[in-house]
Amino acid sequence: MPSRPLIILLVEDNAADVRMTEEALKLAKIDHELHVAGDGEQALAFLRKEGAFANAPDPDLMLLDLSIPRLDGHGVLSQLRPPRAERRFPVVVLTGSRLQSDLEKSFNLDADEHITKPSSVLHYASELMFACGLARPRGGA
Amino acid sequence: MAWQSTPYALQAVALGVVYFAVAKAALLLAIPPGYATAIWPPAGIALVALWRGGLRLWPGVFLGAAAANYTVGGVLVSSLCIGAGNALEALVGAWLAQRLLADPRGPFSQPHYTMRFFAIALGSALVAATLGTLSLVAGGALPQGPWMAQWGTWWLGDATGMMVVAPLIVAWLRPGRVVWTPPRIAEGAIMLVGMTLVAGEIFFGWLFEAHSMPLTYLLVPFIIWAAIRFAAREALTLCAVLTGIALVATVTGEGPFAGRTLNESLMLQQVYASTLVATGLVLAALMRSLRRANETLRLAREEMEHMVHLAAHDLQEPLRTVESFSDLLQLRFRDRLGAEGQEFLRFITGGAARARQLIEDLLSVAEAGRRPLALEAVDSEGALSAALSSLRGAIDAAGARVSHARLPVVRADRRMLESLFQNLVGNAVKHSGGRAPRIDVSARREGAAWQFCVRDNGPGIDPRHHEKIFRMFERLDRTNPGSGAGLTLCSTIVTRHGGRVWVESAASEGAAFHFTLPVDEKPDA
Repeated sequence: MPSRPLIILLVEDNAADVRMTEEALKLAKIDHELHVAGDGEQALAFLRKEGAFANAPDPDLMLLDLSIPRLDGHGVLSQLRPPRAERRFPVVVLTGSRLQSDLEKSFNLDADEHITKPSSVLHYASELMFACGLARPRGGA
Repeated sequence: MAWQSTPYALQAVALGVVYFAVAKAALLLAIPPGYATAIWPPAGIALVALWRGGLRLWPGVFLGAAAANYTVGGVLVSSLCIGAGNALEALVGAWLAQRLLADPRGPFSQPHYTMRFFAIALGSALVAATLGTLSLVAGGALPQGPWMAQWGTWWLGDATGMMVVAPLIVAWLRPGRVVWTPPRIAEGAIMLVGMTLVAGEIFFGWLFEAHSMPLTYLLVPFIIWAAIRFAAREALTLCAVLTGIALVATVTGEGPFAGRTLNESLMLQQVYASTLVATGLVLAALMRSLRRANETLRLAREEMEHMVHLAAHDLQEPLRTVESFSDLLQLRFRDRLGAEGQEFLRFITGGAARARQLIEDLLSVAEAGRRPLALEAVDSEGALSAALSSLRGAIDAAGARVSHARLPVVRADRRMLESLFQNLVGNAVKHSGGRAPRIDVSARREGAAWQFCVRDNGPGIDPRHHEKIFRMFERLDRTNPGSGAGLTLCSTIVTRHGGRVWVESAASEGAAFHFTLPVDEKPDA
């Protein structure tokens, strides 16, 4: 097992959802270090280590909410270079609903996985365990 | 426009000159002593000029009319009186039109505006006819005898002149409503040539020499065609072409209107032309209102669907927060909450679950109304099986037995058809009234549609609720779970497939839900 915690970048503007993600990660017993970006521009600044994020670490996993201010999830993903094949970390898209249009939107994105935010914490924790599994091998290498 | 910047005097003089020229042409057809004619298009020109250009242009009408009539008899006083009569007629008509036909969408945009306009024409023509005839009688130009015929010709000529000419000019002054794509141009050309040929036959016997037959009604369909497929301007233009042909024929003694005195023939012809104009105008206005109403309806529907969708979607977010933190509270603080705290929490989660159900149902109904139909040949038996397997739990729990006859292949959206069966069978399982549910699904051919029937042995539905149950969130039995959106969803799905859904049942006799779906006419090989 790698000794260092998994570095997760959560891009989410809703405080309740940030808290819920923290709780779910705790429940899933994932050794992690959570960084939160409140909007799309902050997320990009974090990844590019710009401004206040000069000392930001490279994330092992990005949890990206689709409906965030300024630059939405789609905008963030389209600005991410390089594309999926060469990206050093997986991107998991979080959607608010199982609505056809939301699903279609996230499938059309260049994401590795998508999660419909569940209303049960246990359910959410198990989804996150799976998502973190995507990141483990790379984090441990 | 250059016209608006032209000095007033020039406008009035130009109107006078045009009026004079058209009046001289029309006076060629006058009855003795040469003042009154059954065709008086100058009245229409004068009306439009004062109505659209301003009442102050009246001196143009006065001068034009007086000059034209002076050239007939050379009597100055009578000519001035006639000129005054014509100017007053145009003033009255234009003043009334400005008040009664002031609609930003156009003076003939509503069917009843045509009726108003015709009343204005018939009314204001009284002025010129009366003043003109009186001045001729007073001036001695007219013997006492036939002055009634004189007056009648004058009145009808002026009125029909306004009816035929004014709407045409107004239609051409306003921007056209037709987008002239190549197919429209082709259709317009076919219509115009077709009508000209038929008119040529009826009035001159161009093709089969049947020109004295009373077949003028054959031309009405062309005006209807123009009004329905095109707009008022096109219908009126067709009327103008037709009036031109009919006029030449009548004056040269040809066609069904000829064979009487020229004056009588012309009056007949003018009444005919006015009738066609009225038909075209009213029909074009009706078509326009219909198109506008349809468009408004479509936009309103789209707007409403969009709002429902957005509202339901946005409501999910805060609801999820309530649900997930209630969940967390339950998970982490259960012991500290105590019995009462736990009970409160159960109410919170119960309420949230109910709200979620409502929102999801609302969304599924909205989605069923919005999502494009993926029509294909669907084996309805397969769709029913899929529905039954997702209902398996409920069917087993209720001890229900579902049977079905051979079901047809229909043209439908597979997912929607499955959800239709799932809702109807699911309802029958749910509302069993305590008995073990027996459900039968069948279908029979009814003309171009398949009529399906989902029959149960439940408590049945009182006929006075038969319509109500299809309404959103309408529940007859509140002890049963569900939000009451299922039948609304069914209705939306069936309606989108061009079918109908209804229930046949009496209380305590079971219920039979029927719906129709179009027969798959082009099977996917």
